Parts: sequence; C-alpha cells; structure tokens
Amino acid sequence: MNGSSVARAVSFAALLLGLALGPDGALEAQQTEPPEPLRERLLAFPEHEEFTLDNGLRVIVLSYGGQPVMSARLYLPGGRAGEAAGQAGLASLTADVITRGTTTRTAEEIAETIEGVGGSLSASAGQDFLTISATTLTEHRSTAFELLEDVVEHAVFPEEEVELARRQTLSGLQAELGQPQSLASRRFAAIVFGEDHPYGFRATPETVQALGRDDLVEFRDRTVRPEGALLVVAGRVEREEIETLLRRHLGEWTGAGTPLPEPPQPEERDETRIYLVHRPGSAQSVVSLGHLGIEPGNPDYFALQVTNRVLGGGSDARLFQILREEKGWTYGAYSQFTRPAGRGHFMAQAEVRPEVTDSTVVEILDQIRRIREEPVPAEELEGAKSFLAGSFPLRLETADQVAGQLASTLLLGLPLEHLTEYPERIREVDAEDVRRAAARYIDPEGAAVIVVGDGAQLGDRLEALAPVEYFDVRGAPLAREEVLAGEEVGSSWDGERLEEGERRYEVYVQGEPMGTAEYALERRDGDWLSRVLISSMGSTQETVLRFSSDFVPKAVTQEVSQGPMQIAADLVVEDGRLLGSVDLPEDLGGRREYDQELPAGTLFPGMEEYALAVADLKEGVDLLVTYLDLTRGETVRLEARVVGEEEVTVPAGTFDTWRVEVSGGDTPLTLFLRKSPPHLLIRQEFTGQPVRFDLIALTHP
Amino acid sequence: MPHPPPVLRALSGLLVGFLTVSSQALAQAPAEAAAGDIPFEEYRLDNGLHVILAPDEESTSVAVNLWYDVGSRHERPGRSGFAHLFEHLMFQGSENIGPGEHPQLIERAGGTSNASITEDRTNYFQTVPPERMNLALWLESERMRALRITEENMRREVEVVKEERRLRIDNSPYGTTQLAAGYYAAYDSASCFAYAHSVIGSVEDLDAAELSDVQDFFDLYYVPGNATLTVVGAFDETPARELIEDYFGSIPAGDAPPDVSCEEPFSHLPVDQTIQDSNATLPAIFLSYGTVETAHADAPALSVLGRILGEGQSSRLHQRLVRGEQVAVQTAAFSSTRRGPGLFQVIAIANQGVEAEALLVLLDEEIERVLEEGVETHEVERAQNQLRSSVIRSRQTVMGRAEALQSANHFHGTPTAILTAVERVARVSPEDVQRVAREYLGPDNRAILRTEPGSATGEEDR
Repeated sequence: MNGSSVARAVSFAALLLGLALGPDGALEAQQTEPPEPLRERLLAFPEHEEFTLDNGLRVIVLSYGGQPVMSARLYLPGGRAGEAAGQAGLASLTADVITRGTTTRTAEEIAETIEGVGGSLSASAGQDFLTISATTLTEHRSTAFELLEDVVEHAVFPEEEVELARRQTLSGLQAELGQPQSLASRRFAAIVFGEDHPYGFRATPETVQALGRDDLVEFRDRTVRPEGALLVVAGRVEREEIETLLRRHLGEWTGAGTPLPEPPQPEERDETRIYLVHRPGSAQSVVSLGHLGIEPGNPDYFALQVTNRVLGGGSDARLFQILREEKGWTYGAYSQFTRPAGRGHFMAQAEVRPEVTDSTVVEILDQIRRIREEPVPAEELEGAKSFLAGSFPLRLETADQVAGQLASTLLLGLPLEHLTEYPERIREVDAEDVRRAAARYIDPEGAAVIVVGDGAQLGDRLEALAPVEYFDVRGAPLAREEVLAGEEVGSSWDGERLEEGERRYEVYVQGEPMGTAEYALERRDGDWLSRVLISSMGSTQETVLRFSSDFVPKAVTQEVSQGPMQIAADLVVEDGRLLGSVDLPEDLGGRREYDQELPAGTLFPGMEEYALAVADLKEGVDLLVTYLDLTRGETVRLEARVVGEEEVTVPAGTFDTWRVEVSGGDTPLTLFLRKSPPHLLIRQEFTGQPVRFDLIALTHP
Repeated sequence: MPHPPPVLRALSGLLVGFLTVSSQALAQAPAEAAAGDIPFEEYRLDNGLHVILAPDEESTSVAVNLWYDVGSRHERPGRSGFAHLFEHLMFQGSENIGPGEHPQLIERAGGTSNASITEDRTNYFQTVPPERMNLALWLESERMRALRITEENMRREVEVVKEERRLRIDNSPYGTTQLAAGYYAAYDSASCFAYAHSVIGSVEDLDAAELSDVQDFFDLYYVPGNATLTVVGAFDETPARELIEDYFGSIPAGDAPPDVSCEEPFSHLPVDQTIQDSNATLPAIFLSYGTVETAHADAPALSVLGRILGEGQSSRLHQRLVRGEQVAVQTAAFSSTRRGPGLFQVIAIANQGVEAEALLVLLDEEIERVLEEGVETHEVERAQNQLRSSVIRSRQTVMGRAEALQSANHFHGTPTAILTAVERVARVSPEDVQRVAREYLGPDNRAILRTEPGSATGEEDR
C-alpha cells in the first residue's frame, strides 16, 4: 500500500481546510468529510495443496491462520440431491444420526470425547452434499481424525437414536408447515423445479415417518464413500503430517459413492402465473416471485451479484427501500440468485399485509422491468459494488471461512479465479453489464408468483393480474370455488358420542413431572359440562365450559393465575350473541367487554378437544376447528391432520392412538388420540418446547 | 387439548435467559486465559492516547477497536446507568457526522461495527476492509473530538435504555436476583459503590440525567489519555501511525479521571436475602462469593473451578442436581473477575415442588466436597482444554485479537499479558483448585440470594 502518499493527501486536505478556517488561526485543521478509500491492498488468496489418497479421497490442505486451530470437513456428494422423491428427509436424518453411536462408542462417549478437548463434531445435509466436520485445536488433531474415522467407517445408527432424530425432525417439520415463509419456499421449489426434481421436493411428515433405520444405512452405504468425496483440512496444519494421519485413519476406508441420478430437466416458463397457497385467516401474505436461474459456471455471475445487490440484496436495496421504507407495506423484501451444483434460481420475496398483496406483486414486477430497462445510476452502482467487494475480505478471516469458500468453488467445478478474483470481477461490472444481465436472467413475463395467504381474501384481486392456481398448505391442489367461497364454517360435531368421565394428566417439562391437569366431563340438563384444572409450576388455570349436545357453546368461565398475573373470563351465549367480559392484566389490554355475535361454528377454547374426540378420524383426514381466543378476542383456526397410527405408553397404560398434528395456534402441537371412540387425549406434545402432557388416570368407560 | 397456562409457553424463555448468565462466564475467560501469540507495537500520542498496533500480513481485514477506561464503576451515586447511556449517545452524531451515520458508513464500505459496556470499560469497534481503515479511524476520532448531543436525542436514548432495562431485568425471570447477586448484595455499597450498582442503572437515575451531565461525563472520561486504540490486521505500521496522528493527534489531552475506590467490598458478608420475583415461576438459589481481581494469581484456578462445578453436562452440579437427584432444572457456576475485586457465582433453579432450601443443602454438599476431597486431574484437564480452545478460537479474527490485546492491557496492565496469561491457566493443578476453593468459598464470604416466585416486587437496585 502506498500509505505515505495517502497521508500526504490527508495533510494536504487539512492544510486547505486550515486556510479556509484561517482568519483567527485558533482552529486546528482537520478532516471534515469521510476520507476517500486508501489504495487497495493486494489480497493474496491463501495457497492450498491437493492430493488424492489411494482409496480415491480427494484432499485439500489449507495451511492458514495464525492460531493453532484446525478443522476437517468432509463433503460427500448426495445431500438432498441424493434422495429419491419418496425418501425426502433421508439425507438430513442420516446426518443427524451418523455421529450418534459407532461400533466402539456410544453417542454419549462421542460427545464426551470431543467436548473433553474443547472441540466439536457435527454432520449436516445440504442441497448437494452431506458434510461431516470435526474441529479442534491443532494439538488435538488426532482426536478429530480418530472420531472422523469412527463415524465415517463404523456408525451403527442405533434404533433409539433414529427414533429420537425422527421425532425432532417431525417437530421441526410441523413448525415449518405452520410458517408462511417456509410454505412459500416449499411451493416455490415445487413449482419452479417440479415435484420430481430433487431441488423441487421437500421432506413431509409422511416421508419422514416412512423412513427406517435400513434406509439410513443404505443411504450411508451409497453416499459415505471416499471415491468422489472431498476432504478439506484447514488451519495451522502441515501437509505431510496431515497426509500421514489421513493414511492412518482413513486409508482403509474404501468404496465409491453411487453416482447421483441425473435429475429431470426443469421446464422453462413462458408465462407469469400465480400459485396461491391457501392459508385461511392468514394475518400476513408472503410473495415469492421468480424462476429458474443460472448454471454454476455462468460468466455473468458477477454482473448478477451486483444486479441483485441493487435490486434486493440488502436493506439499502430497491425492494427494501421501496416496499418498506417508502410504502410501509412490508417487514422485509429481498432477492437472490442461488448457485447450487445444478441449475439455480432467481427469487424476489416480500412479507406483506394481506391488503397490499396484489400491489406488492405489481411493484416487484415493476422493479424488475426498471432494472432491465434503465441503467443503474452511478452512485447506486458504486454503493453495491463497494459493499460486495469490501465485505469479501471479511469473509476470509478464519481458516474455516477460507476452506468453506474454497470447497464450494471446487465442488461446483469452477476455476479457482472465480473465488480469488472476486473483488476485481465485481469492480469491473458497469451499468450496462447490470442492465444486460438483468434483461437476460430476470424475466417478468415468465415468473412463477407464489403467494401464501388467505385465498378467500386474495383470490379475486390476484386473478386480475394473472391466472391463479390454488393449493392447500400441504401442496395439494384446491378447487378455485372451494377457496373463494371462504370459510366453510359450522362443521357439525355429534355430542352424543361423548361420554361422562374423569381424566388426569401429568405435565412434564424436560422429562420431569412439573404439574397436573384434571378433566371432568358430565351431563347437566341435556348439556355437557366440562371442568379442566391445570396446575403447573406455581400457576393454575381453571376452565368450566358448558355446551349443547350439538356443540353450541353456552357458557365459559376461566381463571388463570400466574404469580401476580390474573386472567378471569366469564361469558355466556344468548340468542347467538356472546355476552360478558374478560379481565386481563393492563399490559394485555385490561378488561374486555363482549356483546357481539358469535359466528356459527365457532367454539369456546377447550371445546376443540371434544370436537376431535367425536370426529371420524382416519389417516390423512384434515379437520378444521375454529375457536375464540378469550385473551385476544380473535377467532383462531386450528388445522388438525391425522398423520398416522402409533402405540403410545403412558402411566395410564398402553393405547393404540392416532397421531394428530395441529397447527394454527400459538404453538404447533402433536396429539395422540385414542383410536377407539371417543378419541380421548392420551398424550400431547408441544413442538419446539420441552413440554408434554401424559394421561395418568382415566375413569371414562 | 389443554391450552397450557402462559408459564409453560414462557419456559423456553427462561432457559434462554439462564444461558445468558453462564455466557458471562465465558466472556470473562479471555481476560484470564490468553493464548496464542499476537505481535504488536505500542506507543502514546502527545495527548496521551495509548495506541496498540498489530499489523499482520496474513489478515484480510482490519479491526479498529477503541476502549475507554470508563464503565459503570466510574459512576457516582445518583447517576447509575450513565456510562451505558453514554455508550448509546456516542452513536448520536458529532461535528461532521449525523445521528446513526457512523454504522451506516461502515456498512456501505462492507464493514461491521458496534459497541458494548461492562463495569470496567466501554468499547467501540469496527472491522473493515483494509482500504477503509482510514474511515473507521476517522469516525472514531470524530466522536472523540466533538461529540454532539442535543436534549432531544439524549431524552430519546434515555427511553431506549429504560426499555432495555425493562426487557432484560424487570420483565425477565431472575433479573432482579441477578442484580442482587452480581451487584448490590454481593458488594458493600457503602465502601464499594463502584461495583455495588449495576451497569444498566436505575430508572430514577436515568430520568435525572441532564444535558450538562453529558458534557461533564464526556469531558472527564472521553479524553485521549483515558483511551486505548488498538488496530489489528492488514495494514502497514508507518502509514497507520501517520493516519492516527492526523486524526487523533490534535484532540486536546484532558485531565486524568479520578481513581475509583473499592475498599473492603466484602466486609458486609455473609448476607442472606429472599427476593420476590413475579416473573420467576420456580424457586432459585444464587450464591456470590467475594474473590479477586482478574490479574490476581488465584483467578485462573477460580475459573477452572467454575467449569468443573458448573459448566456443561459433565459438570458436578449438573450431574448431581439435574441428572442425579433431579431437584434442579438448571445449574451453573463461574468465576466473574474484573478490574477490582470479583465474584464466584453459583446458581441453581429448582425443579417443580422443590424448595430453595433443599437446593442450598446440595450445593453446599458439592462445594464442601471440593473443599474436603479436591478435584480430579481429568476434570482440571477438561476445563483447561475448553478454556484454551475457546480463547484460541476467539483469536482467529482480527476483532478477537484486538479484544484480547485490549483485555490484557486493561486487566493485566500490559498487552504482553496475552502471552503469559495462557500459561497461568495451563499451570493450574488440582491442588490449586482445592486451595482457592478453601480460600474463597467459605460460608462467611458469601451472599445467599433466594428467589421466591410471587407477587411482591423485588428489592430495588440501588
């Protein structure tokens, strides 16, 4: 760097300012504007060495970084791309379990060994690769390679670990299916790549439920093989020594991975079409708009990086500035070009209020047309380029970061210059390059527009823009009329199927008993009277419900007490009107008076459980239940889906149950309902929270 | 299906909140157990600014990191929380820079920036690509030279800080107990107000802030002689020196701030208090033992002891109270040293239906066991490995190295302590651990705080 000339330039500026301020001579001359960038420093991209073991394992050694740390990361072709459509979720489940037990170590022993040296060991499944990584201080490198060897060659996939991982995966999936964002990205992938393309299908509760230990072992056998794999060892390490260690630990490892099946050719689009994922009552819409993108080696990649940064690559980009800052429609709006091993995609996305959903689609398309037609003004272009080029060195700080960049470049089959010359290539991009790249790779006339939101509210307005296809949240096509007709309320439930009786549940938090829930249901003058008392961790909640035998709510009282917080509700229904009040703490809005119509089919909270108890359950059945949330004064629509059968053992005994997944409320739930009617609750789990209710006693017939 | 009461929904929040407690212990580690060499140069400008430069050919970016020797311990009674408020105000613009513009300019250059505060220091930091080192230096010099605060933006930041307090303390389970255990019950406020009040301060004091206080505080503490500028990464020393001289050299020196007094901070111990906490749903025990400053010879053994007792699944408290007897949902222990006298903290949150008293009995048994029987060699080694690994790992980035140099300088009096501190941890023997446990973990040297879930408000932070 020619630092002294910079310093001179600064002094010179200071001198001029000094003169300008001169007359009283008292002020010190100083820089009053942000200084211009210094001369660029030549960034020599770190060198690496490469060799191949006899078993075909390709090895990169990157001696880099001043601190004595090292990481070994094994990339195995066949992440999600190695799954068959019916096996979606297999790669990820295999990764979860592969570090949980080998022929010589239990899951706990593996964890203790790596924690004992302050290191980490993990595996994960990406779009194209399964990755297994070990990280330690350089002095503990042999522990890292020992564990890597053990996991790669001797993983046993213990049945109980498979089950544990499956439960965690199912919980995660269930939460995912409740989020409009993930619904949008799932549908986007399915539409743009096709449901038979590995980039197009995603794990569902059904595919995950169907996977067994044998599938994991089979996936491991065809994926975790040295031939075709890449191992990157990075940090303060020496090539010779690493080579010796690798021959010792991975030299005996043999076999070639099974070549990935050639994915079907995704279809190019020639019209803009809207795909609406109907999420009844959705308080927010997600718009994901895009189409197929570029292949990894595309030379216009750099121009597209700049294009994307201008269009939607950050909080100072156009989409964010216009949709959020100017119009206030959205919480966030971004765009991206992906670059996986196969064909990538372009996508612009925004989360918006339902009433501006159609305007958002129009605005995004307008912004795409603008960047295709008008040259980007110089200042905007410079800003985008200086961010991209400037942040590049910050992404190369640690050996691990460099190794990651290196690996993804090599795995995509790109020349190394794509990585090492990134800042220069970015700086070369001019306004015409951006306009040309945008015109070539972003197409407002051939976009798939995924909208997740309330179809009854949005359908007509979106149909004015483009043809619309309708789907439910699980991806099944819906008839237009069905969606536009709106709420199909007033599902009828037959109360005669209920039975008097008492039930008692234990509340478990992190597996420890932490409270109880008591239920009593009795006949009272032709109605049903239900009492539920939940007490746990110092708080209590008592709900008394009265409803007719055809499930018309009549009265509810509820008292919640948690520390100083008290909630009391006392409501009755007279002539279809809801009357009464709910006392809430001040910060939840204080007292709320009710005198309003109760829409037909809306239940009181707590009744939904009885509705499920009398429903006709069988696998694949979807049920919709609407109830009134007393603290918010809003109706909540729960969607319950019977996903399978499961034998469940709880303190009250062993039961054949339906596994029912419930979404739409505060927290996604999994219910286990007795198969024989009435379908009483045997177990309840809260997705993502260590809380569970188990039946401990039952006096129902 | 049961709609669980809010307490259950809030549980994950509780767990997260608790994790934050033990991460404080981690954050403390670099100050105590440095490892890995970082070659550097240090010098002072004529106005007293202490400069540490660590140019490094292998780096790809530059950290510009400024520590002011001011933290909550410098606050006077009636002005608690002021140092933290000031950290916020440093983003409100200066002579040539508008409010909020500083981080914006850094981001546009491809860099990142932020600031933080503890009892002992306030830091301001940015990582930038090499050619924008001058921007970061200039921006820091701008606010050191001519911070510009108006009544309006001061009031707004007072509200922001009060909101932060509401979120982190007043509405957070065990927040009030943490304040007692970390500050006002653990330290004698008559003899050591410096550490007997919290960083976040009291709402009354924040409301009492006046614009003239801001200027006074700035004039007293935000002067070159009270700051250390550390630059680490991809730059050449000579031009960096010239830039620093150009930007900072003409800032007036200012006077040396007064010393902080903290005499006999633990003479009031033992203390035994019960705190009613409306946010907490389970009883808890917080123990705070009076210990030593970071530079003290016993500090490394104390931090090893903390890990053995209360860090991770294999720690003694977890094995006994959480897994074995199942009386606690969570446990933690850690050494929290500082510039002045520090604390050794032990925490346990009871399982449903377990009284705080029962936890205390078991905690005392485990502590007694260390005093009587000592600890195992493999426990010491595991703790040493983990401490070493986390320290070394943190030094992979230019920012991590800048913080390590600052920390060594601030807590041990010289940046060279990065070389010696690592050996201090490595030298800790099982006997050392037992000895410091006997020295500091006696019943007369502690504050016992019992959290009782309930309606009354907690004792006010003074």
